[in-house]
Amino acid sequence: MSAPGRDGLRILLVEDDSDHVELIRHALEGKQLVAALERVSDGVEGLKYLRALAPYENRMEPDLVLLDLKLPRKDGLEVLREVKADPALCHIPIVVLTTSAAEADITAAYREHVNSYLVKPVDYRRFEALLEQLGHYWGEYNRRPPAPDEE
Amino acid sequence: MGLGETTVQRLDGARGGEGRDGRRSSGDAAGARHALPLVGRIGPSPGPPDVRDGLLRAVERRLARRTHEVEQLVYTISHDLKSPIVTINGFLELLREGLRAGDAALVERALERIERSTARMDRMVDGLLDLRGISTAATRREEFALEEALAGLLASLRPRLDEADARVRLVRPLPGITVNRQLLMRAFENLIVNAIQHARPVEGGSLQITIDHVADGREVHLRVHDNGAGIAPEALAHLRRSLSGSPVTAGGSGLGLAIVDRIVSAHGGELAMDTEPGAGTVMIMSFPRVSFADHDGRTE
Repeated sequence: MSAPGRDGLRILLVEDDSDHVELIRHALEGKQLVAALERVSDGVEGLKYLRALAPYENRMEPDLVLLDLKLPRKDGLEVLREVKADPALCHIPIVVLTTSAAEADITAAYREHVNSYLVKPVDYRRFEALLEQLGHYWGEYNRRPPAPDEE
Repeated sequence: MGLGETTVQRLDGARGGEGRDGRRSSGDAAGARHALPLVGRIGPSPGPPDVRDGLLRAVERRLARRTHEVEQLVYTISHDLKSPIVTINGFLELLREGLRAGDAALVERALERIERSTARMDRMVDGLLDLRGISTAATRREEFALEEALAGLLASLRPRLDEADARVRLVRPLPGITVNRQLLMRAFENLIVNAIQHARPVEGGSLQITIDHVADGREVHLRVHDNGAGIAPEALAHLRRSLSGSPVTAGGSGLGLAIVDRIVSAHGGELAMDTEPGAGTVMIMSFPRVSFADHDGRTE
């Protein structure tokens, strides 16, 4: 795994709300933080992408997953549980990015070993600032172990 | 989550056997199917030796269910209404950017997103208000013929059914029933519309929806079957959240199933579901027999 930062983060965004996807893209574009932002719109597709199953055989492993909780077909907590239970995937940082500030959701996400839990700010400038800081933190400062097949 | 197990699972995630007998005696041949009662039932009438204990337990269960409903509602408001607010605020900022830059396309797109989000919030608020008014409305009951009422409902749904290439079959005779007619028709409408929006026949072709009923000693079960692909175990976890408003009714308030659930429970009944991947879905509204006129005796 190349250290993120030199050429920007590769982010997988698992988000069903197209409006939020557009806002997230808008906030991150032009800031040299992100090399690639791939989006899938439900939990089943998210897991297929991470496992490089069809039609994602040629996907690059993301440096970071931004995961919504309330997703069609398979919800975010299920995705989180499966990723963290999979030795081939569990090293990938997962950040929950949701509108839910419910204590039960936060507790459940940490129980499933989420790396960070962020509530989407209602104020767009704060939302934009959050995404920018997230890009800096995970892209420039955070270090993570190499993928299992690179060890 | 263990949703693939045959153990009856309640909406709140607790496991329990209560209510299982009623559904299983409903005459459904698919004994291996997974029953997912969407709420706990109020419970059987207490027998003479334990009348007080039985009543207490019934009240406790009713209170627990109410608390759960309130929690779900709070969750809906905090989570689901916040999502369009995030969208609106975001696109307001993009609207400003568009105006500053003279970007007419961005302005138009932002306005369209804002409009769509406010409409979505409006539908959700209406849905919440509906939920609130159901308990009161359910006390205004009338006796009517279910067959006739459903025929009227289907006539009004005809354009949507045709558009979706869906057919609805009523298995006659259907019983007379004493409930709030408007609410029960609303429940049937939501279940039919859910099927139209979400059930896709496994081998293509038309969507077939069948409405029938069975009865046992205590209850009459009104059932809406579809020949869709059924619901995979992992999607059931998602559906559980639907009572707090998920995309179960895409383009609607997101509260379609929650409304059905509330309507049935306000009449002392219970909503349950049998589903299996590849074998369609059956939504079951079980009402106490006291809600029914002299029954035709079909299953007795």
